[in-house]
Amino acid sequence: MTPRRFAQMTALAVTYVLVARAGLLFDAESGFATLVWPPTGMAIAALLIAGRWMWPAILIGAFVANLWTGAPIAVAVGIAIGNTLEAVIAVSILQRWPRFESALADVHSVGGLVTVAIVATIASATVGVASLFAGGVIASAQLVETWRAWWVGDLLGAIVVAPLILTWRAGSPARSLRSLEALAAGVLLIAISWLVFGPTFAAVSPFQQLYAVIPILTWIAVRFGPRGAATATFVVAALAIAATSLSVGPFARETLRGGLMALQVYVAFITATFIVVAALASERARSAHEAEQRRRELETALQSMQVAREHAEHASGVKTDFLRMVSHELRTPLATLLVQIELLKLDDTDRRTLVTSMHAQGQRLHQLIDGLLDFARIQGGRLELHVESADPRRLVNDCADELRPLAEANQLGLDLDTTAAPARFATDQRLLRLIVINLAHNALKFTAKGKVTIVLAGDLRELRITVRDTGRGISPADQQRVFEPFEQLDPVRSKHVPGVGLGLALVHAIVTALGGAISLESAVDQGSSFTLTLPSGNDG
Amino acid sequence: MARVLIVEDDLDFRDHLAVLIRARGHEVELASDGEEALLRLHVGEPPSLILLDLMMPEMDGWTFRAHMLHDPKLAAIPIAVLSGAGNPGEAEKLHIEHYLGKPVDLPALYRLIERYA
Repeated sequence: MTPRRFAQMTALAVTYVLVARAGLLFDAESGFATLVWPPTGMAIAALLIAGRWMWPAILIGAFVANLWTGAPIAVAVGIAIGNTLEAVIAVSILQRWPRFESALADVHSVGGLVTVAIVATIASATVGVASLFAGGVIASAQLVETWRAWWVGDLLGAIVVAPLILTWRAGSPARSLRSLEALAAGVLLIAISWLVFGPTFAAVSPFQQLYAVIPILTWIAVRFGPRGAATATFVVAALAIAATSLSVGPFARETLRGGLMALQVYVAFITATFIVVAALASERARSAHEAEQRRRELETALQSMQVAREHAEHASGVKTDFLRMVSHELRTPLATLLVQIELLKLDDTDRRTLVTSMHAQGQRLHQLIDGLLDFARIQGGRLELHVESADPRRLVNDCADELRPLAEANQLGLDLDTTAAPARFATDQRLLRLIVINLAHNALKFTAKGKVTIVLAGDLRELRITVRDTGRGISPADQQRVFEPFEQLDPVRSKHVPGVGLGLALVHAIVTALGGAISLESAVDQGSSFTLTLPSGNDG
Repeated sequence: MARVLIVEDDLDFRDHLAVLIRARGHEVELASDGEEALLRLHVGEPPSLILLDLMMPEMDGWTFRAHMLHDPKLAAIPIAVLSGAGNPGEAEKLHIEHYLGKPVDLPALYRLIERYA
């Protein structure tokens, strides 16, 4: 046995002896079968909380208490065995009782405790009375009355004391003690109990009635749950017993025994009734709480559905909000730029990196604005082509230089292949540059790792530009949409399609305006490859 | 001190904004889309405020918000929308209290973060 367990058992045994001695003061039959036996409730609660292994403490405690009261050793052993058996049986039943909870916050658990109080106590009464009889302490004529007193005394101890300990230990989860109200209820309970059971009994006639405590007990049971009810009934029982033993109050008879016997029945009914009322109130409070929780869950589920619907409507909207897309494309780099300017004001900033990035944002904005203007011109049929002959390899090289910071930032390679390119090609050089930049920018933006390759090929009559990436590819369904007219590209949906944004839509419009064509080859996880062919501007 | 989670796919914007917010003594966590943000929310302490972009690849802001509302533990975390495309009505439809938009009104953003500090 660990020292800790030994200490716990010693404490229980000592407490048991003291509580038993207190109980034995209320003598009933032959000094042993008391009318109130609080140790029963204490023993049941202790074994239930700490475990059945504590039983030797009960055995020793009961033995010492009875020896102290004057029982012969053999009789004390017999009574101690009966008391221990009672507690062990009670706890064994409760541990097997389906869904028994020691908080006593439901009618089912209270039913378990009441059943145990009635059944298990039979063991103690029977073994105890048999020991008294065998030891010659009582005569056969006293057998029945002693057994009855023993049984009811233990029953009362179980039903009044065990709930008090169990509910205070477990706490009543649904009902917390509201301190001011609890104080008021406590004061009122004691005042009324005093009026009912106290010495003023004869003087204050309206409170002569034993049922005067019922309203206040109901209030406490409903408002403060099992813990409140267990405490309040304990207080009523204690005050009533104290008054009766002092021969005052409604239970005062010629003998203490006569008074206490009437009191027993009263306390048993009051306690059983109000721990059930408290359990019902707790159950009700709990179901109200659960209903409220369900309601909240439903509310958020509903909100979530609204949001999902909103999203679905949004995503399925075929008509693009053109301004919305432009707004997003322009505001994103602008927002970054403004944040970066703010950063410049901080002292410990890496200005070089910052300025490089700011430059890139500025360029991006510049491209976007140019692109938008071109797009507007194309839409309005006012795009003027300025065809010039120039070296396309040089143009692509310049574009690559401009994009290299972005490639480096994303840790991507940027390769050029201009081996099969013509030395000169006649087209609108500014628009060609816009096409290459936008295609490559998109590829860099939507590739997680690997590289982007720009291949330039063709001859004087036709230029072929391929921009290939190692990104996650575009599914066949999305490939269809990629070349939908600009207005029908939804910003939300297009964000799901890697490589599609304002830039690609613009490329499509420009290539078409230049009389060329653009195609896409891609497979999911295989990367994408955009190829465009442009006819020479001199042919037209 | 507030704990801010920035959910934003534009890494330049996100990281630089984070530096500004950290410089004011707050803690900042980063996610580059809704999925990453959800993963972050499921481990460790919840942030005091989420700054949410709406248009993001992979899981966007709308889907992210729907996921959050599905989880009673996450539903109550305050959010401010930082999006260049939306309008204040967008946030309302998503049951999001705050809308800041882009470019960000930094003083307003700082005030908002302080409120949740």
